[in-house]
Amino acid sequence: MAKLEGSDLNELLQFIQDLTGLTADGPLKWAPATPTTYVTDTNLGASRARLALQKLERAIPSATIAGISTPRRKVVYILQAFEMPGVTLRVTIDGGEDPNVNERLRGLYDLVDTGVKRSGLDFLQKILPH
Amino acid sequence: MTPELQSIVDNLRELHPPFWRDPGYVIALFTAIAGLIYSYKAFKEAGKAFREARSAKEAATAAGRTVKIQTVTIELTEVTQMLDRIEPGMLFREARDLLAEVQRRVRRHVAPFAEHPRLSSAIKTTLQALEAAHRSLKDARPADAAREAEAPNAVYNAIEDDFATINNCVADLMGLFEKVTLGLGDSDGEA
Repeated sequence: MAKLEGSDLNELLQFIQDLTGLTADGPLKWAPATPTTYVTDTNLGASRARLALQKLERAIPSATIAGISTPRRKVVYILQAFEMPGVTLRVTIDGGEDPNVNERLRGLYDLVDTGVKRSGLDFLQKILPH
Repeated sequence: MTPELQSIVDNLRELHPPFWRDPGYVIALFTAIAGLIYSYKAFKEAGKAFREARSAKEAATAAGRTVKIQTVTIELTEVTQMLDRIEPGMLFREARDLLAEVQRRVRRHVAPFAEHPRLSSAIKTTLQALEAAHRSLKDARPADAAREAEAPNAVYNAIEDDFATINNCVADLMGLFEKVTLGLGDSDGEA
């Protein structure tokens, strides 16, 4: 997705905010796909879609010393929307392109991550006799 | 000296002439001198042969090193081509096999040069990039292999940048290997 500015960026930030709200309130249930990726299938709106939220460490080139580039690392969040059925990629929101977007995605990721881990702990509690 | 005594001395000189008048001594002397000159020349030739042999050995070693470095450069070129194989939708298993192959090749070929003063820093950076890619890939291991397709780009997203970094590091290494092969000084080849 090309870098958004102005009202488009605000709309995107609002979308992530809404997504965070729906996650916090419960309608959106996320499941782990990899240790750093969560997915959810949604048909709350007019279209069915799958969302994949991923946390990754991205290498960013920094100083070049004696002809050798020494990369640093930065945590970036990506949200991808797939059209269902068929799992066709429609949109990629890359937090690396805008710090505000990355911050909102980080908030969503932390919420999802905490929820999934809490759910796992609750399950563990259920398998023990009380 | 009385005439009688002089006569006795003369007789003695005739009977026992000085040794340097002996033809055998003269022949032995010339032979010894010739032998000495020959030995000196032989010694010089031996020294020259030793120096030439040593130069030949050094040249052969340098040629061997050049061939080895060129081989490594060719191998690293193949590695960069392998790194270009990553694409969206690739599976964890495919990425793991690709990274393992890249890691094995790079480590094998750069290991002999790990202590080389001009290459060690670039080699260290490359190995660190490989380790980083390994960690990123570990984060993309699917929780359930049967449901890997649910997040089709998770593996690609996780390793794309790391593979690009490895590619850059390998390109740096190739340039440095070529520089060493050409025997350029530290400041040569700089703009």
